[in-house]
Amino acid sequence: MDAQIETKELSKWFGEVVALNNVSVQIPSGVVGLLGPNGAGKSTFIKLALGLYRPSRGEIRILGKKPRNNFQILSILGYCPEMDHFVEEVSGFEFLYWLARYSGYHPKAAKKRVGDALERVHMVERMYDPISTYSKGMRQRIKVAQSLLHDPQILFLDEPMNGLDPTAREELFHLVIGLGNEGKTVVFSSHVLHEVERVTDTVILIYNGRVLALGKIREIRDLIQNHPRTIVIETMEPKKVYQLLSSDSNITSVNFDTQFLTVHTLDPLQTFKCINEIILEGKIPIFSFHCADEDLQSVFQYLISTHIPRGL
Amino acid sequence: MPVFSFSYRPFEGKYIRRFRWWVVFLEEVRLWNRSRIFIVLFILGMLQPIARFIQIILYNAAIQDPNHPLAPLIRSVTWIKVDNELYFHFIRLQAPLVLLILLYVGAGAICADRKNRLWDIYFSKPIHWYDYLLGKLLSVVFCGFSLTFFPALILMLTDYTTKKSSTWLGLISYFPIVSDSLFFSLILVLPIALGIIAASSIFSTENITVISIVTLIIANTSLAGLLSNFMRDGNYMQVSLPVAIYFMGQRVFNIDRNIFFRTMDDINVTGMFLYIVSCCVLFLLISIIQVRKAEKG
Repeated sequence: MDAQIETKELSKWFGEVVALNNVSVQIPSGVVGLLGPNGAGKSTFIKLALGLYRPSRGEIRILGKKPRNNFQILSILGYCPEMDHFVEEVSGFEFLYWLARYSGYHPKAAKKRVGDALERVHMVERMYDPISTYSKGMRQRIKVAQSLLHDPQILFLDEPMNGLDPTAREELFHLVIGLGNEGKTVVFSSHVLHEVERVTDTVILIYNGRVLALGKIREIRDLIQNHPRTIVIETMEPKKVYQLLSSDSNITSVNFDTQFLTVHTLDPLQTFKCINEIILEGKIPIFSFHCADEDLQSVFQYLISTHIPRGL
Repeated sequence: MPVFSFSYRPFEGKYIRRFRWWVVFLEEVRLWNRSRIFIVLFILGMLQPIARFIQIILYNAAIQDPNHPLAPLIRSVTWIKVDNELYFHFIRLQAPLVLLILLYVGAGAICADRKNRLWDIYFSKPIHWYDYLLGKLLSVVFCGFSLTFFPALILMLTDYTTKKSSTWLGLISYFPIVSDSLFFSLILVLPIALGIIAASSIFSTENITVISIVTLIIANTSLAGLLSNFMRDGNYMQVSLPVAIYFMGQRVFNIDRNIFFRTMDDINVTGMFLYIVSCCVLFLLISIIQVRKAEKG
């Protein structure tokens, strides 16, 4: 694995609060989702990677080098922060222009870069308006644009979808996927699971400062193979369907609704087989059935409930 | 509106490797330069230079032409004379406005960035804490100099050019006044700028920064006054930073005028200079510690 970002026993604490605890990960190039609830340690991880925080213990390396005060590394990193960070009275163009200058560009090159970045986030129309007049979505676009200014090799997007309308979200999804396809490393932080699923299949699940899992979503899903799975069957006669399914010993529990039957099974494949047989018999109409906990949310909930002791 | 091509072009130019503080300086100057309040204050600050400009032109015209209608009047008024004392008084009288304008431009220099959470963005760029601090400080010092030293230079140039007997060699005679003005401007502007930057790095808002600086000046001078009244064994007025700055200016321009001291004999010039320097060092240290703390995370 060509690790772009590598951490070894990385820990960061603020007084008695442990923000990140003993994190050892290797992040390859491409889009990687940094997933966890609010306060999990995602932003701390990103700030450590950017050299904004000094690790309390362990180390973090970007392309094999420590990022802190390393201009060579900082020049190839892009950062879109979670919170608003603006000089309100200036225009979007000017704000980005100075940030481009901070990145080390000469005035002419800086203007060119700003134009390109604003174009990429579709903010050219309003680029000369003061930032104070921008909507939440526009501010978010400006933040993304500033992270793209210097064409970074490694990009950290901290909750970039916050406040974006559906069209803008779609554009940003495409942008992130495009950047990944260009060979850049994009660390996409979010607490919304389906957002991450849209852009990548490689995730780092982080909770309470610890890494719960790292890898492909499917591989992580396999972790819950032995966990009872939930299947929802849509039918007009849920009780009759259950009677036919009762021969399946893998079913651990059921819930009835007027139109739905929810079953928890230890072997979903076997249960699916039984449902198929009922459909083929054609005695009871079944309109649809699906596995309700195949998504990342369920994996996440499962990992939190089983891997982390209660009270942490 | 500029039209850019729809492809994202990677940069092929060159990065700036040195003098990154220059960008911080330029951004800061650009930021306060656009403010109407600053422009009004700056115009007020330019009133005295304009008055001095007219004074120099009139004086040189009258002094060189005995038939000038204003010659008798100008010769009879002593304070209109153009000499090194003019530059001392010019810089001295600019001091209140310098304080006011520097408070306006410097109070938010650092605390506004912290309030707007800009430190995270700035320090994620290839920029050191000292580039940041130096840029901020120099922008405030530059603003101070643009009201003191730079107009003084223009006044000297006006004086030189309006003298009919001016020669290139005559320019050399201005060097002592130039160095005196530079030193006095520096002694005036630098402690104020450093104090404001230090306060801005400590406090959370511009208002608190301004209040703290004004309070500090009043408290410092009041303390010096109290010490002078109660302790008769020395000239404690020199503990006041404004008084120390004023007196250093007098000394630089070789003017002996006793305003603040009982006698001029027991004044420790070196001590006063060291007092100003130590205040500057203290303010600088506070700023460094605060900005370093922000950069450390």
